[in-house]
Amino acid sequence: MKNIHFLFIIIPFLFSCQFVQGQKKTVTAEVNFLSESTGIITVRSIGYGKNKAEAIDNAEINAMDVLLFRGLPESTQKDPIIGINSDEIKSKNKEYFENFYGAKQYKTFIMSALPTTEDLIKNKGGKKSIAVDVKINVKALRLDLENKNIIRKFGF
Amino acid sequence: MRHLLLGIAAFLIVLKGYSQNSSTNSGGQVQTVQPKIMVIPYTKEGEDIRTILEEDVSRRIAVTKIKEAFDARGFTTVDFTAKLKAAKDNNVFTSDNQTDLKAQIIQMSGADVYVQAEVYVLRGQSGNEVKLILTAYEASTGNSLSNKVGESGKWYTEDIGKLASKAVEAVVEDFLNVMQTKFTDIVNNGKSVIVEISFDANSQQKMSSEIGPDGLPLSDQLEQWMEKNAYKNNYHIQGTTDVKMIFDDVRIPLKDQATWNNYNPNKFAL
Repeated sequence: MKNIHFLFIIIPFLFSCQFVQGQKKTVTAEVNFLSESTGIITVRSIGYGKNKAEAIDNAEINAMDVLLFRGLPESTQKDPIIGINSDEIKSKNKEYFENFYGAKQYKTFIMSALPTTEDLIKNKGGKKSIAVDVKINVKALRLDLENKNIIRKFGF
Repeated sequence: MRHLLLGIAAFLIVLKGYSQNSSTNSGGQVQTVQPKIMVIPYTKEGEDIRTILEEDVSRRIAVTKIKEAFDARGFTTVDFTAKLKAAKDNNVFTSDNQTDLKAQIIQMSGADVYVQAEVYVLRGQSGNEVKLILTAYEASTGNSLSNKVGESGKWYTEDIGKLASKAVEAVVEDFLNVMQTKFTDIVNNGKSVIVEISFDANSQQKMSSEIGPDGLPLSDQLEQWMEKNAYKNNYHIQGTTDVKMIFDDVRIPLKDQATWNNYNPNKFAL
């Protein structure tokens, strides 16, 4: 009888765990073009997190995601560097993106990330955010993607 | 027996002719043949393309900046001025018509793609500005690969070269990205070629002549062949007359689908 009670508790718990795991992390497109010079793009990106460091990291990741999978209007990189279908591309090149985001390889393409405010801003629902000016070495990023065969080199 | 040995020896000699030279043996590696790209200045009707670059520094700067952008993407372009000089030295130009002259240079260079840069200088009291029209074409078909208009913005300067440079910088990355999208489409869906089949006006055979066991008109037989052989069944007929049939867009693959070696229009015609 005790075992049945245990099962009643554990089964819904396992189902809820599976549901959470199945949900995909929501990324925002709150990334706006600021300026650019040869091979460098500067954007203002909004990042969310419990503390400042976490929010800055999130802003950097959002900036990278927009550049790679959405494109940046008003800049010369209007089209996404890799492609629009981010989920498919990430699962196809799992190893690269595990290293890129998981091992924070993306930071090697960020020349600077300067928060525009000292403290985090409290939003509706308790979410805390910060606006960060992120300067990205797009030329190096493109070369890395080409060398790892994520995108094709110029030409056939 | 003697005849058989002679036959085998002759066969081996023929095979040797097709075997790879050990000095150039790449161990089966195949490098995709890249398109040859040439950047040229736009010329109006009657303008001498030979003197345009020599006299107009802003056009020279625009052409050089565009070539620089190709270099930055690791792609080498065919040098237009070098080709022009070689053509002049070899007295290649046979016509006084400047449009023909440009076509002759493109043909002589062997360029698959040419990028045309049109530079306009707008002078005004509120500053000077350079507008740039960039267009990329496939030389064989005239298919457009990329088009962009770049603006330097208005500046109080007489340095038109610097303004031309700014106008190029404003659009060249975007221009190359669009070109690359078209190249990727070519890799995936094949390269476009034009196939033109024609008869002499006095020929007894016409496109409407019924031939073969099916008794189908020749034009239908040709279309059936194209249906089977065009890459991914992708072809378009421009038109058919009794003496001519034009396929204005036939896709052929970049790689031989059986051997994975490089493929070209010549092999398609074999």
